[in-house]
Amino acid sequence: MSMTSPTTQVVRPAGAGHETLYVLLLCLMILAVAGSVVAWRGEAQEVSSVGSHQLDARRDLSASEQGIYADLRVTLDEIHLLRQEQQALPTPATLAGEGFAPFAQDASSVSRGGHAWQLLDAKAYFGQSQTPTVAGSFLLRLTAADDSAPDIWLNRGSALPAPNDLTDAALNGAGWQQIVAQFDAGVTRQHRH
Amino acid sequence: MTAQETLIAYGPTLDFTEVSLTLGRTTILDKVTFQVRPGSVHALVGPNGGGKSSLIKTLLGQMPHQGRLSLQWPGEPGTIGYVPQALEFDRGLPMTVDDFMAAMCQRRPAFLGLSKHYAAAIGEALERVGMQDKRKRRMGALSGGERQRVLLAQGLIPAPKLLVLDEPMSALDEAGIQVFERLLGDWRQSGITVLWIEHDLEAVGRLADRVTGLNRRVLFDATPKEALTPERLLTLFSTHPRSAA
Repeated sequence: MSMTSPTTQVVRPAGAGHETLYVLLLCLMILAVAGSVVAWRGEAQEVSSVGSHQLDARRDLSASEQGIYADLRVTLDEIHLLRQEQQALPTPATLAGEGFAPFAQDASSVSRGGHAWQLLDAKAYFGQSQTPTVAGSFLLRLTAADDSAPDIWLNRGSALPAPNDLTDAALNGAGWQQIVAQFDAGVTRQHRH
Repeated sequence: MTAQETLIAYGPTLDFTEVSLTLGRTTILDKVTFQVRPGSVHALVGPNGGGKSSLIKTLLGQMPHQGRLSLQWPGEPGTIGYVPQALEFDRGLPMTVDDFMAAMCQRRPAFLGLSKHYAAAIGEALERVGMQDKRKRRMGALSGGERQRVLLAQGLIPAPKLLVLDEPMSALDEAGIQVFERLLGDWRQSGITVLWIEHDLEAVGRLADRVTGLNRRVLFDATPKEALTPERLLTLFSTHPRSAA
């Protein structure tokens, strides 16, 4: 028999002590891993502010204004298509005849303020509100490009004349505000101040 | 015998030094101090609830004991075999003797069948306990004695250097007792240390090298001839443990 050195093996007590320690260490490790994943993968929340000359489409519009705004954005695609076909912007009457909201005269257009639409200088649609308390007057500016973002303005003044100058500065001066839609944190999670 | 012991002492020495065990407010073991010599068959006797099974669980590292319990191996630490008192399982469980042995002895999951590496050892162990021809039987269909033999066989794989037996003879039938005595002889010859809880004092007197009486405290630790006197046994099995006579 080959002699190896004797070994003394001490039986450790089972229970609380070291087992609790191992569990705690495991918890710490899980926390550390989870924490570093959060730190590594986390992204700062971007909150873009709305300028004083602008309106937030989600919060600063009345129900009727939101409806008109959404309809204008949808109909803008149709306007672009019609412009491509005819090499000219369709008149509000044409659009109303096709049944495109908000140009069409129907029950909802009446309840949303009964806007009277006209084409200005072949580059903007102006919808004058009959009841600015329900919905203000709208202005949809168009650029030469067909894929540009919607450029929609609102003015809640009463008996509003059609704007002559369609530049930003002139519109601001006349009390118009641009409507902007932002896609950052969900509006439902924000508190109104 | 002593010459032989020193020649082939494979098993470890067990050293219990003031081992105490308290669970809740119940003192189960109170400063238990004794030694199990390497290669000896050491019997542990005492009344029910005297702490014998707790002492074994302490030895297996499953109890929050105080005091020092050490195993002195002559070389590298070897395998500790453990044969429990009984096996609790559902009688209808579709587990054969082979499945049970596979589950106990091999790393490969038992439902994948016997590992080739262990098949020979398992066959040999079952042969030694006389269960070779019942390998395909359901565990639930075995008698208590047969199940005890399977438990014994399970304790043989891999070959242990220390065997801990918790009342192995209680369920054994006559044939099984002969098998067990033969195994005990084999273990003694190969120098395995055996710690053995037993109720049958006649068997202890006949088969053990040394016997410790345990009833919370060690009441005696001597050779069977010295220990198993009527006076000492009266002390041991009395309801209120008194100091060692």
